[in-house]
Amino acid sequence: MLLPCRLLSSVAPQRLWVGLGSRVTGSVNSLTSFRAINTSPKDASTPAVQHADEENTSTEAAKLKKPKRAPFIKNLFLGRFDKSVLEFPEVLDQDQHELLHEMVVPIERYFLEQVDGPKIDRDAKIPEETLQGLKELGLFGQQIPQEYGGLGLGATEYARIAEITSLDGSIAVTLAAHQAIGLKGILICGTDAQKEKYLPQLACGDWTAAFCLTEPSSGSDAASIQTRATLSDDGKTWLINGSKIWISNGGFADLMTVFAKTTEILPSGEKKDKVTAFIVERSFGGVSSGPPEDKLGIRGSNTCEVFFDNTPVPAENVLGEVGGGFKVAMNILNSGRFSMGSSGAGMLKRLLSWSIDHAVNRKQFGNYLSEFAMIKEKFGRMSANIYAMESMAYLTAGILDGQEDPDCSVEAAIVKVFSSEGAWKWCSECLQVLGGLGYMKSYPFERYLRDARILLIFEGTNEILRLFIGLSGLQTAGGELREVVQKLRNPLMNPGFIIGKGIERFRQQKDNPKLDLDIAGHLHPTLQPSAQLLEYCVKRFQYSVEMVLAKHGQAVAAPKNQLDVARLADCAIDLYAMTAVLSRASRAYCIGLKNAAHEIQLASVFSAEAAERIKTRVRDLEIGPVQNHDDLYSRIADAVVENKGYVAEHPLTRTFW
Amino acid sequence: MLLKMSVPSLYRLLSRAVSSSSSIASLSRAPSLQHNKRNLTSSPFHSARKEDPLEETSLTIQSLFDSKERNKGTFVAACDIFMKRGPHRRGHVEFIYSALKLMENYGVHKDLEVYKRLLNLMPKGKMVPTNVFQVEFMHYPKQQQCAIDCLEQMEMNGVMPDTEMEHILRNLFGKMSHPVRKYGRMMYWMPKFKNASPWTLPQVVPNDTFELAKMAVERMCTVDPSSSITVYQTSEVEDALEDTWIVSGQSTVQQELLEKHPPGESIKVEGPFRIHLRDKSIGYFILQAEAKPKPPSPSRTVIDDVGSIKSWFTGELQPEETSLNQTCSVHEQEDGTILALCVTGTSGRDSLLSWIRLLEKSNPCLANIPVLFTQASPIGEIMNVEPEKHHDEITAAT
Repeated sequence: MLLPCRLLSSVAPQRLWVGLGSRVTGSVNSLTSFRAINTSPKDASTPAVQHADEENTSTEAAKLKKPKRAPFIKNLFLGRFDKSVLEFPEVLDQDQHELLHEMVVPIERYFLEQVDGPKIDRDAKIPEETLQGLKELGLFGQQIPQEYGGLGLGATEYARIAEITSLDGSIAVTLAAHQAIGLKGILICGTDAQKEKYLPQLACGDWTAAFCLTEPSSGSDAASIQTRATLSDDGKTWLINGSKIWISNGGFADLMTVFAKTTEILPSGEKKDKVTAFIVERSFGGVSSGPPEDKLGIRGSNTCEVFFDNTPVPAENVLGEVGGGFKVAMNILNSGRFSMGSSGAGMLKRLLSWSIDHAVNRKQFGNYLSEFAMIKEKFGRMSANIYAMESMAYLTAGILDGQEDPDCSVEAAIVKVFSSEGAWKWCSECLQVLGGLGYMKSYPFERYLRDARILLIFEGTNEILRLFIGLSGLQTAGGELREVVQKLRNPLMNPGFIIGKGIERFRQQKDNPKLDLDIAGHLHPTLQPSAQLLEYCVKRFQYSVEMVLAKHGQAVAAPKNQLDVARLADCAIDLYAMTAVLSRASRAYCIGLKNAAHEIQLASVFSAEAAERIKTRVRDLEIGPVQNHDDLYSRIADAVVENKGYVAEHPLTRTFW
Repeated sequence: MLLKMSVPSLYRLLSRAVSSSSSIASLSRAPSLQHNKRNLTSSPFHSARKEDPLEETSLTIQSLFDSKERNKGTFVAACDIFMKRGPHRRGHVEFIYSALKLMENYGVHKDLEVYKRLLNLMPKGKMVPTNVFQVEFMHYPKQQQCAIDCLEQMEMNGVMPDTEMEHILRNLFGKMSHPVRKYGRMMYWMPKFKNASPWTLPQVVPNDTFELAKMAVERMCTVDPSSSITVYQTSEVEDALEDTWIVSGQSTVQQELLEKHPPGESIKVEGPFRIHLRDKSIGYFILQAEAKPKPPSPSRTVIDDVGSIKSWFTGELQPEETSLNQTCSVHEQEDGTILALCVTGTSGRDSLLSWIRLLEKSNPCLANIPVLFTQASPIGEIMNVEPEKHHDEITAAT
């Protein structure tokens, strides 16, 4: 019994404090975002909790100065694993936490009691009084700062609210079109005057915003838009001409972020077309919209064509710089995607409980559905998937809130791809549990399934986002691997490097990479096997990135090599999911959350399966297009395209009698 | 359904085990401890003196805690008076020890704020060690032990400290002191134990029997996810003598079991049994049928014969053939089949009769089954939450 005492006193004081208290106390009550994030191995020597007398100054400083970190996934492409991510972020201080949870209650009640989802779906319109209720709850100005009349929520709080608003797809999309993309431009790069002028009206919902980028001829390829803006002779107004399609809220939005091509004259006298973003009020004139589109899902949201006919826009309404619109568009889209994880999870959690309700009451062959292993497996897998979705969404939100100038574009895209596919698949599986009942309109499942289908398409289709994930990672990696390649080409000048690399390669080819990242040291010991898997996957991923770059060179971005890029992107998605899941489960287990042991199970099973998937993909990359059948599929597709349809003869065809 | 072991008591047991090991680790202990259960050498004479907690405290302190009204307000006032006595706060250790003993009398033994106030009585800064030897050899041992005992009492009462507590301790004794280490251990274990029970209860369980009944029935019904809980009023039944409420829990599985019950065979209402919800307890009744003989486990030869796997698509199954893939429900226990359970406002015989009448609405077959009411309760006359009342009045007054 004396052992603990002796152990405690024999360790150096500083070390002991870190070992004993830092994880527990630091995680339970981390007062500031700074503290929650800033616990990488480098500064592990400083205690995670400071003295009370230092508290005031450090809190102040922390609020002003957040840590700056390199983008996580982009670095992962280089095999660098930022272990600070394994400290699941706790960015809300006590006041924010309590405020958020007080806020959630009325919103949840409103959605359960006042919002009539089936009616919105049937009438293809959100009733005026429902919208009014949403405005009164402040949901139209969630991320607008408080000085402009909004709620001033951070990413984490926004994600939490999105969990509830997703209970009705139409409302979720209307809100997202308004604030996640519609007015986000003003928040990100608007001038003070623009903010002053527009944000108060938008925050209270008097005005609704829309985001006008897509055109008939340019969907995912945003740089190819045709809408033009020409500067008037006095240089004070721009005239916008063109049309935009599928604009959410397009029928009634009072303010639109419109992207149009402007002509820029380079110093050399050359003319060049560049995209510029404008803030356009409907009242400027020349704005008209077509009839609302009839859609498969999210039927209550208003989607229509918007036409601009010589719409005059004052020069001060240019968003960002003239010619800098493409960057603005990308920034807006990149910043809005992360919340899809939490909204997908919010929706699935509800569907799961409904289908469990059915499964425990329905008896077939003398057993309840909930006793059948195949149904149970669905519930189990679904939970693990929801867990991953939530973890990724809140990890990303935590990074957005807790870091200085965070670059989360790839992470957000990952969250979007993973959760949209999960939402679609598991919505469908929930419906499957009910069988025929689920297919009926009297149950909500088919509506949620239709609503969920859009998630795979909008805000960048999943295919485009896979390329985005893969290529932006490869770009980062390519920048640094250039030196590696140069060294490899001059072996005599860099003998040590060559030998090291040779050994590394040898081990990788034997599928036995050296695990030296010590990921397990940053997680609860219970998760050690999963941590090993994650480490293995990180190493294999780095190897496959090098492999792909070596194989294709610059041509990796060419359309014919997309499959390899997509494989890397899928690996990155699974890696990020594993990281998020493990860090969350570890935190939960350390601080003793309710059902923490269950979380460990979820995390273990998810990471084991994700590791299997990564393993298969790396193997596919290793064996090349002939053995992994890419080649064959490509040739089949060529033939099908050439034939403009299915090529094979009908099975009943005979060549002789 | 038969959850005789309530989880809060388990929690207390565990936390006691932990605290005992941790307190042994925390070096020597002051002799005048409240929880000297482990002090095996103490004579009966020694422990007999301890009956009145005020007896051995000094006169001045006694006068501070002499107030007629014993609630949080007067307790805090006593602390404040002591605080204002001067910058030196002479005798703070004695004061804290006597305060600790009286906390339960004042009904503040579960109040974190009061514990913080007590620890704040100690002078800040003076006792922070300045070199390694002081750190290692328990600088100001009496004061550190006092703080440890304060934490110990918190632990015994299930009060979890917070970060402010840590700041107080660090400012008193420095970051490597024994109280801070004890705090670290507490913060490691207490959150885990706090959430160990799968049945969450509020920190303070309500004194209202009706609320308590709903919680109890809800907890017991978790064994079967298809359970539903209904609240009846006996006034719904004609010629009911008692006017009270009934919280009844029954699952669809139990309804089916009741339906399958042979009409002639009688079933019993048994109880009251006791269920604990933290420090409160309440009596509940069950509707129980005689235990059914277990279905014979399939013989070795049947399982081994893979030549004739029976399933739904091989044709309509005979009842004996389905027995292979049918399991007993959780309600079919060795000592009987539990068909429903309830808590009534009075626990009276008549309210139970009303319960059976009300159950008939959802279980029509009950009309044909004779129901017996057992006379003897396994735990004697039904208890209620009366003894706790006094204490809650104290907390309500604050």
